[in-house]
Amino acid sequence: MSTEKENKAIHRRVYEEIWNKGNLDVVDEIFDDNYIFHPLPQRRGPKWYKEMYHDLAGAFTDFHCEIEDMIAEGDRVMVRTTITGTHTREFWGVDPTGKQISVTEIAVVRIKDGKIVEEWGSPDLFSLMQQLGAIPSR
Amino acid sequence: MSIEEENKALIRRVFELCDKENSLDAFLDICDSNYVEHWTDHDESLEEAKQLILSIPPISDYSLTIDHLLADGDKVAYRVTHRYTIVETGKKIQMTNTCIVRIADGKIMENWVSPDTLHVMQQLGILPPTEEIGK
Repeated sequence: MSTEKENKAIHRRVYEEIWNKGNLDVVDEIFDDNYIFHPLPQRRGPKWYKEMYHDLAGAFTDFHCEIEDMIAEGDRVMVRTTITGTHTREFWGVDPTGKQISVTEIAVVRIKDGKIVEEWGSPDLFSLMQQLGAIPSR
Repeated sequence: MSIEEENKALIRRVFELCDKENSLDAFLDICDSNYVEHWTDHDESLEEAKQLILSIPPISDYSLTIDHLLADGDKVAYRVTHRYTIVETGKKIQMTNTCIVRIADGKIMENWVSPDTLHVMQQLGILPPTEEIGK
C-alpha cells in the first residue's frame, strides 16, 4: 500500500472510530505524544485531543462527521467533512439552543511513522455561530 | 509531468501572481465560466465570488503565502494565508483559507471552501473573541 493510501486509512479512523463511535482508545493509538493542533499550538498531545472530544461531543448530541473528500500527498492528508449535531449543552458561552447544526471543516494533518503529529484545523466557525443564532445571518 | 504535478504547478503559479500583483485576478482568470464555490450553507457562482472580492474595502501591503499544497487525481487542496492592511483604519488582517479545488483542462471547475470569516470579523472588531460571542 502506498504511503498516501496508508495515511488516508489512518486519518479515516479519526472520524469513523473516534468522532463517530466515541472509541477514545484509538486516540492513543494514532496520535503522537507530541501532537500539535494549529492554530492553538499550546494545545497538544492525545490527552488534550480527548478533552476536545468531550467538549464537542458533550455540547452537540449525535455529533457526527461525514467524510466528503480526502486528498493525500506525501506525508499530508487533507479531509473535507460535514459535521452535524444537535446543540444540547453550553458551547463557547452559547446556551443550549436545541438547534441542529451542519458545518464544513477542511483539516490538514501531517503523519509520521503511522502517527498524526500535526493538524491544521479549519471548521467554518462563522457559519456555526450563525446557525446557533449567536451572530446575525446573511 | 503527472496531472497532479501539472495542477499543482498551475495553482502555485496563480498564487505567486496574486502575491506579486496584489490582486486575486489571476485566480479568477483560471476559473471556468461554470465555476461553483461550495460554502457550508450555500453555493456561489463565479460572478458572486467576484462581487464578494469587490466588496472588500481598499487594502495595502497585500501578500499571499502558500502553507500547504497537495494534489490527488483532478483535485488540488491548499491552505493559504492572505495578509493585508485596511487602508482606512490601518488595521492589519490575516486570513487563512483552506480549500479543495477540482481542475479540468487547466480551469478551476469547483471550489470547496472553509473560510476564516469569523477570525477576520474578530480582527476587524466587528465580532468579539470566540469565547465571548454567546455572552
